Amino acid sequence: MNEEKIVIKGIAEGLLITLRDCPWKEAKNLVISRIDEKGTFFKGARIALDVGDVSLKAAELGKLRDELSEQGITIWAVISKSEITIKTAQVLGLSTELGVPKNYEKQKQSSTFFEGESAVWVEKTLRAGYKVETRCHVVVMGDVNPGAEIISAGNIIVWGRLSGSVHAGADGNKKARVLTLEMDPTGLQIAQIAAAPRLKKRKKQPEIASIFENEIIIESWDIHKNHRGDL
Amino acid sequence: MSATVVTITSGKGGVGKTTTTANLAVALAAAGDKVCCIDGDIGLRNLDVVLGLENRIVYDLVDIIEGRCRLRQAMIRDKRLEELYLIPAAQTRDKSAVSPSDMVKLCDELRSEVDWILIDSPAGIERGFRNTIAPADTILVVTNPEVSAVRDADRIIGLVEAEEKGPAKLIINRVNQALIKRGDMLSADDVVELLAIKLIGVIPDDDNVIISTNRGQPVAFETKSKAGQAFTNIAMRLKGQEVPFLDMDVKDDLFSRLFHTN
Repeated sequence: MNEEKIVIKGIAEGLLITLRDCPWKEAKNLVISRIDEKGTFFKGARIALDVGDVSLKAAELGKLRDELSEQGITIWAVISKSEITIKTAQVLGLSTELGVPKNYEKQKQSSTFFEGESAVWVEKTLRAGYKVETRCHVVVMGDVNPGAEIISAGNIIVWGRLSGSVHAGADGNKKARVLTLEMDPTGLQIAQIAAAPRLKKRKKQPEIASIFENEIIIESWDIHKNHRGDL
Repeated sequence: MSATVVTITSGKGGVGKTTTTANLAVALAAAGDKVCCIDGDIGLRNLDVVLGLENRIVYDLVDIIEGRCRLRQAMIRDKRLEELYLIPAAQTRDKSAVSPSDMVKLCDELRSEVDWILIDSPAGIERGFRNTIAPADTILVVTNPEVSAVRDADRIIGLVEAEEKGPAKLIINRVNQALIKRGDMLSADDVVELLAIKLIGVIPDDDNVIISTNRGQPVAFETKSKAGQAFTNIAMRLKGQEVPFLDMDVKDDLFSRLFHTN
């Protein structure tokens, strides 16, 4: 019977927990016990909670949020038909809709709809001592000065002068690349391979660094060329 | 009156923060403004020496903050320029004797009394730096045309940005035109290109600065000295005037050496 009251399924933004015909106290305990059962499976998960027409006060919802966050789980949205619950969620800074178009599934199936990958956008010059470390790609609109550092699991684009230290494909992705308008890095690494220091200072021109035959090569950016390294 | 609080800082030591503070204070006071300098380098005070006021210290910054004296009592008045005051640092304490909020409070009290409050920051990015940045309206970053000093200046500018006190303005000190011409020194343009903040002054490398610093008679008192002139120009720019940058050509230097017997 419990199985009907609580349904957990994966959606694009994380997990959706749907609760039906169930007083809050019971529902809350169900959610917690379900999560306990699965152990670390939920750790780091982002949860959207669909509570149907149950009315929730801020204290009730807040308590669940705090208890879950202790286990490393974030509630980011609460969906409800009750206006009180919707208000409560807004007060707590939670989303009240899934924010995905209803025809999302259909769009995803069409081959011309491209979701893309996440990147960290930095619109400033990274000065000495600044550090960007992320699993996403990194795009800097500005310079990267000596003493600044970027570590990314993906690609790095510096729309400016790159004089600091960068590490692309930091979790071992040898296909990662570094693009910049002016390549003069203090340190340049892709996956586990570090670039040899450049002896000659090159012209100020857009360049791309990639791995070719287990070495980092830097070549000038040519719009007509396929800069793909080992690919 | 409501003073503008200007903090002079650098990150790296020995680039000329104290000399710059002393000279800007003299130049502003000579222009008729009422100026109070504060030595923020608690435990390593030396602004008093550069200003030649060493032997007149009774109370210091920490005495004011810990309530042993009134603000007025710790302000040493210069005898050469009536409108120039100094609040010296304590020598027997360290940076932890003062907090950023103490500095803000002190400057707020002082604001109504003077036109300019110039704070000499210690080297480094720790407590002392944060103390001197906290009350600032304008921050001047001093650097030398050396790679290491420029790197530290970049870090400081970044920290100033992070504290939302930016953008800082740049002073490049000890520029040696002969070395630049030989390609052995970064030019002012190189430094500005890297740091990408507004330049407010370039000070030529000038032996007179060392001599005057030792005498406790800042070079800005002398109108003939090029460095003194450069400092005066920065003071005028702080006051909002448009002053062209000095011509630092070497030939000019030789020329003046040939024709100035003194």
